[in-house]
Amino acid sequence: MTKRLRTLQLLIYLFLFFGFLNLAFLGKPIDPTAGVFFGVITAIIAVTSWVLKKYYPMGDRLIFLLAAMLCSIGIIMLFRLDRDTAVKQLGWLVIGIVMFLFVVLYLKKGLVKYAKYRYVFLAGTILFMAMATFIGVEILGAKNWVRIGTTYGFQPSEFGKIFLILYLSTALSHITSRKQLIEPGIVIIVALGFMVLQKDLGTALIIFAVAVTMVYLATSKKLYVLISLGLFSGGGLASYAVFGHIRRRFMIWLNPWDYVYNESYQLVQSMYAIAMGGLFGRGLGMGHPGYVAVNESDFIFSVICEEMGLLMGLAVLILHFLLFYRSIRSAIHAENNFTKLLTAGLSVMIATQALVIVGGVTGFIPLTGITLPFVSYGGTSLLISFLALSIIQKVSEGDEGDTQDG
Amino acid sequence: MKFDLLDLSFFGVLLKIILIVLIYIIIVQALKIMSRDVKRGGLKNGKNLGWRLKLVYPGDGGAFVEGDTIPIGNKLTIGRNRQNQMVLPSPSVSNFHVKIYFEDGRYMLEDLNSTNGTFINGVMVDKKSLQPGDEISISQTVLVVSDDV
Repeated sequence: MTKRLRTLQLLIYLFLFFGFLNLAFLGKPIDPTAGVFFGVITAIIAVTSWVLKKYYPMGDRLIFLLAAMLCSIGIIMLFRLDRDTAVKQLGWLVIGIVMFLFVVLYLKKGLVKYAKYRYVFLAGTILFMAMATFIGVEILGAKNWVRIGTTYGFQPSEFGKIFLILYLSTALSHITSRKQLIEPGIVIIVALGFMVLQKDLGTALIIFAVAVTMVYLATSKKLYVLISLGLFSGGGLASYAVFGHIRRRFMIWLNPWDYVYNESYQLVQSMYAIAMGGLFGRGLGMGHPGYVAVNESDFIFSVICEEMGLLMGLAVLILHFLLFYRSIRSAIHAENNFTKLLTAGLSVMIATQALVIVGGVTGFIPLTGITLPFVSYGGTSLLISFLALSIIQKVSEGDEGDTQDG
Repeated sequence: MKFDLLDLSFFGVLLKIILIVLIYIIIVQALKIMSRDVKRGGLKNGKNLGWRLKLVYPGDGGAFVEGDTIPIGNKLTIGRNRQNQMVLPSPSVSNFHVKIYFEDGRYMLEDLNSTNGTFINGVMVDKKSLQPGDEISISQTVLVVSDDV
């Protein structure tokens, strides 16, 4: 086990080495920054694995390595696109890893004790979900950013998602009767409502998927899933009728080729990019990622497909799938309902996010602007992903202090 | 100059193939690590993972010497009484001290209200799931959980 993990780690270093070697040769003369990036990322992975191995030998180190692999692909691509973005992303990665280690090492006594802060989580959910509706600014068609000063900004809905999952885990962990579902139900609907108002459909879809999964896990009644699906279709149809931007999204999705120069320009360019790459891609630095809009975050999957090949894109999906499998595995081994629901909710969040955005940029489902976890550029997104990962990692150790229920 | 350009593009093609091959080797390697789960997943009811206890320090007499391995099976009881599967004839071990059993895909340790308690990795426990590498202390005896099958 340990030996195989070490081999895996070496293979990741090798991947990073060849990736940055390629990037170094793109510059004339040879670009030394690539070497620095290689060194820093290798060091991050080595130190984190060492810490995890030393202090928590029972934890699942594969979870971290899979996420690190996804981050590496992301940073290689960002480095190719824009040096400054890559430097910022590397900074965020370091902050994210520090936070990851902090949570894993210092939340010693198990997560169960946080189960009593139910109403703190409830308040946090509503606060962050509502925030951008009132003081948000509109970026790229969705009003989901809050500006602090003039240069800094963040997406409150990202934090809202985590709070919602925390809240649902506490609210659903002791569920016995149908009455107890009313309060979580209202919270879910309020959260969804705010997302629709902010025109952030991607996040709304993720919240819905997470909520349905968690309710089903807690109650194991298919009836609730059917009711939620019914309500969701109802709500979807209603918002389709009321909101213009939702109608436009559907129109673009159904007939992207009719509006090539207007509404569906982004989607069509993304599809061109994927098609131009073919199976093996054009090679780093050989494509034209400039044509793809928001190529550093939402559309990074298309750019990866163009320059590194469809096979690499598929690999990103496989890595996400393995990460999901591994996270659910630690959820199964969790010793109480709270941590079980929490881990499952967080893994579903990451996995749905990957599915929704990859489905969106390839034209499988209507396009919604969200980030590809671990790969896309974005401070909030990366921090939230690592926060979720740290909780999953924590649960995988099986050390949860005093267990309260079975 | 022309040669140089050609050389460089060949280099790029080579590297992009290397990258793709590497990422799939990484995925296969990750799958190899995960294949252990699949083997466990195939277990039917009544079967267990075949974990053993390794005796690191025998301090309570009995028929055991250091380095002995004791298969856990579906259930293993430890205590001073002769009816136990593993008998530790020392006064500081309770008659029925502790039992270890396989349930829902994992090994559980349950202390049977023993006088001196059971410790896992130095912490006194009543009931806990076991992980490979856990160190179980009963009175003087030290056992380590091992998943070598």
